[in-house]
Amino acid sequence: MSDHDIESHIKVYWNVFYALLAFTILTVAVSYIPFEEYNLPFSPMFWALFVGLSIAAIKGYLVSAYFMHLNSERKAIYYLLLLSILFLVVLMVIPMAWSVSARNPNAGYAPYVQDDVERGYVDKDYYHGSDEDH
Amino acid sequence: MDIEIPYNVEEREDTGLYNAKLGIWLFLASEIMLFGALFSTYIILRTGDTTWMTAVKGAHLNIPLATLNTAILILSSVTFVMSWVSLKLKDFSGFKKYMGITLLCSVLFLVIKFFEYKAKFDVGHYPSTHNFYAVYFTITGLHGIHIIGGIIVNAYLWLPGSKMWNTDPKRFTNRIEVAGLYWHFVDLVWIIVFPSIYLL
Repeated sequence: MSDHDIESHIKVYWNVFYALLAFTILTVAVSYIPFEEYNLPFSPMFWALFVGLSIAAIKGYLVSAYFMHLNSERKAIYYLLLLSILFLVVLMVIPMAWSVSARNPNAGYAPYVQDDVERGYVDKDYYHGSDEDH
Repeated sequence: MDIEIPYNVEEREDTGLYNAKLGIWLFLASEIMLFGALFSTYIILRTGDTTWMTAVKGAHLNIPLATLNTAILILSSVTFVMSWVSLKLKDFSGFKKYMGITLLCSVLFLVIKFFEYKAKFDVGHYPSTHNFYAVYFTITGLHGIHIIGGIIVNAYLWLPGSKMWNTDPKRFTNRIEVAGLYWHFVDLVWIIVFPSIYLL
């Protein structure tokens, strides 16, 4: 890397920093959007998750591509990461699939909540909240 | 007897990597699985609990403070890159300055985290209070431990470890690059933790 290359790299690093700050403000701002007031397909929670995690993904891309130099890394690193991301997907999908599976006798059942209330660990009202919360 | 370890500084022909770089990426791959398991747990606990959002509302998470912490961590990431760039430009005082800012930011992050936790404990919210708090304290706590680990290594590289610059500058620059990869990963985890726990 020549000195001139490094100079242009420094500019990129700071621009990425400003972009990350802007996306941080944006991600806080969109969390106040009342998705339930619009007539959207899918649930309001889906849209909150979709928008919020999309911004997080863009920020994650900026950090890994520029700060961690993944936009110009050796092949061995790419293979290594591909493998771990594959395992990560398996890790995320198997329990999620099981929790909604028809074969799961506890699908839709929240034993920890009900058990806690029954055993008197927590006040029933704590879970259900006051009326203003609804 | 001195044994010369190969590929300490120079890159291996087949992988194009020096030892520490392959090592840190293997470690980060294992870290992906560690945090992945916790996020997987978070999804299961949250989707199975119809009262989850009530608990989140009752938690009164401090979003302005968490946003400030996000900005602090992002700043520490860019100053870390700048400390590495400074070494590439053979500017040792620049390295000292930027690494100093990085360390200051990391300590500031922990101080803010301390007040955030204290506010939770003061009103009697513990990991055992609700599954939400269990997830909140486990994920942010593990992330906090990573920050502490980073501070220890970075402080070593900033003060006593920086002597290597005089004897083996190339290897020292590589050390900063590798420590930086870890630090950016910790920043990356926070970028995902922040919206998924505080905002959604």
